[in-house]
Amino acid sequence: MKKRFSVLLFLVLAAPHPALAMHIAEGLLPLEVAVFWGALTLPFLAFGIYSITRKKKESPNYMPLLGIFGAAVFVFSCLPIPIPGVGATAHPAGTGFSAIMIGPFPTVVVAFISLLLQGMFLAHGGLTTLGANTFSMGVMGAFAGFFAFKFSRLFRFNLFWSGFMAGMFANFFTYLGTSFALASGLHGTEPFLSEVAALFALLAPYTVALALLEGAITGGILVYVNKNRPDILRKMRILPPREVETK
Amino acid sequence: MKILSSLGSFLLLSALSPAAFAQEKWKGVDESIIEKFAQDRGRISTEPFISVEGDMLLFLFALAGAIGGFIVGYYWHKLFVSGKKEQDK
Repeated sequence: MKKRFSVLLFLVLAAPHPALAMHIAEGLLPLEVAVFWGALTLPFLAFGIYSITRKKKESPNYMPLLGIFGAAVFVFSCLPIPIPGVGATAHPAGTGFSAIMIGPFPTVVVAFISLLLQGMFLAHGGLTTLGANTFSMGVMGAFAGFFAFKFSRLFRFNLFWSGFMAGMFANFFTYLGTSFALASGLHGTEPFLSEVAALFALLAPYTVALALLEGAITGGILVYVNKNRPDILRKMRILPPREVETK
Repeated sequence: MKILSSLGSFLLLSALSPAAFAQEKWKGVDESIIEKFAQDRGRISTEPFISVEGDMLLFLFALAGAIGGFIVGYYWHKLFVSGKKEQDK
């Protein structure tokens, strides 16, 4: 089973399709708006770098986790998923599982690096819109996923469903963030919130399908980690010691 | 594991389905919604920093997927295969 899954995963990851999805393309935001989103993202990025150096010293497992989930965020955000019924493709973000496993602030760094590489070499997103895209995918996606997980645990959801909520909310809020960023630059004389609502209403059909998929993947990953390396969940303080291996 | 395997199959079938290759029909959300939304408000996207097109873009996406997949697999093995064996000892 493991071999079959590995082969499937490899084929999916290596399947070459240019990903055209939710990132805001180069030049779509006026310069002052692009700078605003960049400045808003900067403190999260700085604290993310600090957080990575601190966690790296605390746990020897942190760097491999950062490697797995950092690369997974990059690959996921390059992977266009055809959405049946709407005839278009969109990609998951992966920031939900990343925020749980490596922390929300480090996820901002991971999202920034992924978006920088995509903006530079893959004609996906852009450099002037890097701040806005990082804010929607890295900040809004990661923190929404992280808090959705924490709240779900508080309400005694099991591990799979807590992960499911995290993945779902991370995806949902990433698209909401994109709507905020784009509307902030283009609303003109129209009311800002009505433009956000108009764009998000257009994105909603994609969000629903993707959020469900991302929720299931996030929940599945957490269950897998709990089955195979429950000590990681304990050491990284993802679950309290009494709950590890009992889910 | 069964859930992950089923999801893998779904992703594979979606990604490799003939419909997914029909460029006109299966546009990305950024093109079909975000850029259209901006265009309706008088804003069009500019050329990316490095403009890559055609098969070169396919090549770069394949390369990025392969490198990303390798890194995920390498560290996954380190934590969940050899790391698990060490933990079980």
